[in-house]
Amino acid sequence: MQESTRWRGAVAAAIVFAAAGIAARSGPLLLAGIVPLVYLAYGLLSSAPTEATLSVTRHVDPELSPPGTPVHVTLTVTNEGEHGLSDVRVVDSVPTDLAVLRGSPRLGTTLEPGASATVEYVVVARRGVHEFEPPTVRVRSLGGTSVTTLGPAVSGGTELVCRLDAEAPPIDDHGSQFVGQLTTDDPGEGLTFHSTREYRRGDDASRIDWRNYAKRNELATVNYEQRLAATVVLVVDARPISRAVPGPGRPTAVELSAYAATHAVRDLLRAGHEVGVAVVGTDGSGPAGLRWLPPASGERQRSQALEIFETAAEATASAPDTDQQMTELLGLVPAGAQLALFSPLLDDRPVTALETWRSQGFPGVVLSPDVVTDNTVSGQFEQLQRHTRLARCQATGARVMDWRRGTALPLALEYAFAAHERLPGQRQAGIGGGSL
Amino acid sequence: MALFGPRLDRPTALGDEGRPRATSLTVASLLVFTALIVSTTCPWNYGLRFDGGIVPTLVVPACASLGQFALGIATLTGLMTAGVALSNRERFASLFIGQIILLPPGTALVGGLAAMLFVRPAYGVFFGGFAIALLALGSTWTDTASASSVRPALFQEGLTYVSILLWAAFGVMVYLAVLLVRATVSATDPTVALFVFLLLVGASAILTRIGLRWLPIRQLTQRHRRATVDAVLARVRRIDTILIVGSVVGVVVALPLSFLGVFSILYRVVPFVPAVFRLFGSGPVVAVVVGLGLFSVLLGLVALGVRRLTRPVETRSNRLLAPFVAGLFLTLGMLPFTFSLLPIPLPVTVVVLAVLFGPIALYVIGWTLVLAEYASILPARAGGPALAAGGMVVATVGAALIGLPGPLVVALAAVAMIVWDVSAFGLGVTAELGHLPETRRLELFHAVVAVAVGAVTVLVVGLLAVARTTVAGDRAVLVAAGLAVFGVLVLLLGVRGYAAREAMD
Repeated sequence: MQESTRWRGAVAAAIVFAAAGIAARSGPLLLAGIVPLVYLAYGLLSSAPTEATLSVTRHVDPELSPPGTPVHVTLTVTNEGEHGLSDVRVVDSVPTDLAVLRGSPRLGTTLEPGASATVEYVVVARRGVHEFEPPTVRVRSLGGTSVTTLGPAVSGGTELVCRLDAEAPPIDDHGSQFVGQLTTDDPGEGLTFHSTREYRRGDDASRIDWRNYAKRNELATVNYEQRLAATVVLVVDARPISRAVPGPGRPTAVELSAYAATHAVRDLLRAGHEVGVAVVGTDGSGPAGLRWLPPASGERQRSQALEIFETAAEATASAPDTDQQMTELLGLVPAGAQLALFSPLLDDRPVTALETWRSQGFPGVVLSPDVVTDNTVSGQFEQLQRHTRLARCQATGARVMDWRRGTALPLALEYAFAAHERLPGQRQAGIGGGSL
Repeated sequence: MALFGPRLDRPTALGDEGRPRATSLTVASLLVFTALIVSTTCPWNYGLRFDGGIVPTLVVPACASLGQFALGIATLTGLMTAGVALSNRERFASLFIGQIILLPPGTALVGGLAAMLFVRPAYGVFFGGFAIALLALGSTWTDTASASSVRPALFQEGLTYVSILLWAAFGVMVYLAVLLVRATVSATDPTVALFVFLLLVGASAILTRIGLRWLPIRQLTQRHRRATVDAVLARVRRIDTILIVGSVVGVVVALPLSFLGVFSILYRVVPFVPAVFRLFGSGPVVAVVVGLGLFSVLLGLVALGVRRLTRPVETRSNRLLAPFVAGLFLTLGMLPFTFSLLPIPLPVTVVVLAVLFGPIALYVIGWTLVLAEYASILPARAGGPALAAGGMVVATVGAALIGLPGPLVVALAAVAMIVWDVSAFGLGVTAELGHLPETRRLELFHAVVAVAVGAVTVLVVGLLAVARTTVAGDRAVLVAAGLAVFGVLVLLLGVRGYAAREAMD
């Protein structure tokens, strides 16, 4: 229990009143000297309850989440005792790696017997397992001068688990039925309706639009969405410059890139494609320190890819020569494969690498998580430079996706991996002026 | 929180500093304001009089006129609070307005209270206490009650005062110069005309030199013509220097010659010389010479102003420039306005003394508060609440001295305690929980308990005060009350020791 020294001044006030009263021979002033002493007594004589019966429940929603997603935390404090508490202050212990996005993890209120108070706040998930310590609860006396600090036990959620594959099905779960096919914008044979065209001699009778024939007495042939197989190599930019965060307690751009790549691996493998993985910017066991997983399919590939991404997100060491890694990568990627780059584009190196890849004839996709804050002049300048880099990437003929905060990852991935231009053997744009 | 208009405080996202929570501060402010209104309008003395008819007449007591002073003090303290808050900003406009609404009201408040202390000491103590309390609460609202906030305001206030003196001196000089020019134009003595002409040439050359220094002539010239312009400017500067030196030398040489009577001989020998000297002192020539210098310096000032306005926010230079401009504004407009608004008809000498020494007194009082915080006499973070409570203690003493009813004096003492209690409590809540969580219920509960304790105390002690005047003699009650205070103090010290031991156990 702690005692406050808040009422020391009251003694001085009483002495002032008494002295002034005696000097001025004023009865009311002498009587007024009693008032501070009453408050002093009120502060001293009221004491804080030493054993307050409080129950605390915490709810973390969701307890398992991917990086960058908001997680709602609700802490409920209930007075289980028979006496009311005039001053209850609660401060929840937010894990040090997490930042509060909305709300406050603090509360100050009075609690009648059986009454509850709730603290609600939102944190941004970062990769790892984050333990919530019990909250600090302080109760004060009626006068507010006596304080008791309590450490009540907490029921409910005590940790937040943030994983790159949080929204993906378990590793041993089997994929979808669409084996070996990737949807393109070109019409052809398939299952999903795309368009109709004029009938040509030799078209299969099953593709004739008989309804149209019945209406207009003209033969038309139905086109379906064409599906083609592909090999995709996902390149994650994990260089130190890409480990930037948009704010304290937020996931790094590498974590977000790894998260996006994890989802891309899942989606592409489910569709039956061969997926390879490369991480540049860390010191791995591959050529020139590259972390490299050759293209393959199957669930084993997915678990290995996830392992590489997690290592990349945790990496603190940097690669001896990133340019060398980029060059080595070109030798490893099989001919005709697509290259998908996940980078925040905070400098020109990824753009130069993409230009080189495109000049070698590799179709390219860029998915860039936006971690640049634009509420400062320097931030706005950096954002401008980033947009210029995005435009330069687009000018190479690659499909570019600026993954802004607040945009759902599935939408970003769907846009980035719409097949058309990235398929092998399709049109290739030259550097600096794509014709896509 | 802004009650109206733009907010004057600087909310921090950190939450562990700043002012007490709004609810607590609202309760404290309402109590002080109510105490001020009640004690200066004495509503218990109002009455109805039936002068033969059935329509009563409201009898307004003489003491109700104190309400005017209360209103004046509240207005002045409000303006000063806003002035101090704005003086902590960065932009020129805020700093300028801050000085405009800080210095004249501050001077008026200090001057008025000083005069009141001199004429009617009891009222001076009473209103002085309320002024301190209102200022402290206002500063707490705007989060400018700390030394770190008061210092920049004082620094600028000092600069503004010096600037006013400089502008006034400049005005006097301009006036004298105008008189001189007029005398020259109308002078018939050719020697006087020559002397003044030489002085005007020197002054005009200096002004031209200053104007050229401020004008961005070289910067506005095309690159390929800069060498030519540089040469021309160098030539102009050289001529300027020759004119300045020449005029000084001319005066220095001509003065002894004039005393030796050389000019009289010259006028006799060369008859047209007096006419030439008179021509130097003629209206058109003087206008050209003076006009050239003034035109250059005015152009330079415009260039400086434009450069100033187009430059990004630069706090340090703004804090130097704003008082300088505010000084000019106050010298030209606000000082006469302030003189015309003085509510009490005072002798001119007193007003001049107040205007001259008011800002200095304000400066000294401000620095006293700053030093009090540095010396830990005022708590660093709770300076505002402590000053507000202290002001109310002073006001309570004043209320007793001016003879307000006993229960009201006791109520004012209770208000002092409640102001400290709820403000310090609100500050503690801010320090512990920050600005974000909703804590109104907690604060209101504490405030209600504090007010209830105060109400019961006022009731009991107020009854004692009434009983004192009706039952017992003054001397006996004085002794009894003194002994009671002493006894309670001794008792509380004992209780305090017991409570501390209990806490340790």
